[in-house]
Amino acid sequence: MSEKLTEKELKKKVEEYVHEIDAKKRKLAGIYQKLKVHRNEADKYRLERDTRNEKVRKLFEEAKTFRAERDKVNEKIKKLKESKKAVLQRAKDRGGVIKEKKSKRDELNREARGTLEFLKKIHSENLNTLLNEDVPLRHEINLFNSFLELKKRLKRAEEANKLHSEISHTYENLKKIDEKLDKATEEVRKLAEQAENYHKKALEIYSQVDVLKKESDEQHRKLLEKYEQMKPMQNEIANINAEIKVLRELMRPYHEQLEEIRKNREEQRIEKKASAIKEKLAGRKRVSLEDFRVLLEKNSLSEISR
Amino acid sequence: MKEVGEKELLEGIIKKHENFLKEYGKEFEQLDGVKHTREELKKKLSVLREKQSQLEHWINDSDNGEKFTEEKRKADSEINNITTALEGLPQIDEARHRELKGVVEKHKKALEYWNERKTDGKGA
Repeated sequence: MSEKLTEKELKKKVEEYVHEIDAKKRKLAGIYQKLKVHRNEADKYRLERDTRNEKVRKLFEEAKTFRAERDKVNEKIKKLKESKKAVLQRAKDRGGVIKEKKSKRDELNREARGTLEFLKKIHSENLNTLLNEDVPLRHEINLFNSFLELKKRLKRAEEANKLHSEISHTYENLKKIDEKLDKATEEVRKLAEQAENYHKKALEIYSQVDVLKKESDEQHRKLLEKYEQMKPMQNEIANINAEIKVLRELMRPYHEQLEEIRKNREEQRIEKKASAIKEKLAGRKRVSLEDFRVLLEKNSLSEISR
Repeated sequence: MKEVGEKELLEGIIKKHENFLKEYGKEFEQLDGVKHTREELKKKLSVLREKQSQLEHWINDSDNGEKFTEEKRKADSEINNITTALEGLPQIDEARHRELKGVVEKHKKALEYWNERKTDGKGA
């Protein structure tokens, strides 16, 4: 700016710039107004999205708990099934033992040809006859000869009874094992039901999560769309601000000149007023506090005191 | 129930027969002794009665019959004694005697059999 402008010209220039800047600012305000609406909507979408995401997070935590519970129950079922398998094998083994012992017992019973009680009775009667009764020799010989045979039969019957008792005992054990198995089966069924419930609950949550995620994605999509809508406005704002900055830069020398003129004029005015006050003081006239302040600003008090 | 072995049983049977034999044998021997004494006395009495009859005949029919009187008196006295003795002896139950004889024989036979079986080791 080489030309020297008058105060009036300077004022005019500055006013032109101010006017132009104000116009830009008004435009900016309009854009900001529109942007605010968009921002409000974006905030709403963000809030909706974040609320859903938070819900999804919480639901995931919940589902995780159910899944963990389900896995725990499934682990229990697995262990229970393993122990059931072992018990089943035991039952199978006992069954085999029973079958074997029964076959042996039946064979012994066939050889014994009579119950232990019956054979004992016969044996006791024979023994009594042989040892105490007066019977014909022929009969005695027959009884004696059958004594050995009867002893063998008795032994077989005793063995058969022993086996029978063992079989009964094994049957009792088998019954207990069966009860255990029934209990285990019932427990497995209950646990499976429990696991199924946990699984269902987790699935229900996942389906809620799906819906929420879709909604959240939709909100996010809208938010991005909104950002896209806001982008040209933000660009426009940036452009206008840049233009305002340029205008302010262009206006600044004029404004500075004008300020310089105003400053000089003020200084002259104060100088004039200070001279008047000095004259007052010289004439030993009363001065006001305001007058003193003017002198202080001018740094003229020392001058006066001298 | 007490377990009885074969040897033990054989010994038991033998002991049973020995006991039976002891029990029945005692009664049989008593009965048999009386029976034997009675038969002996009866036989003796029969001989004495024959002698008494002969002596009576000799005393009545012979010329010197007196010399047989003393002898007949002795025979009469002996007959009296034997008759008294016979009357003092208990009556014999013949059926019981026969039964006991059979029983004793049976147990002896049985004892013989079981002892032999024990010795043979058939029942050992």
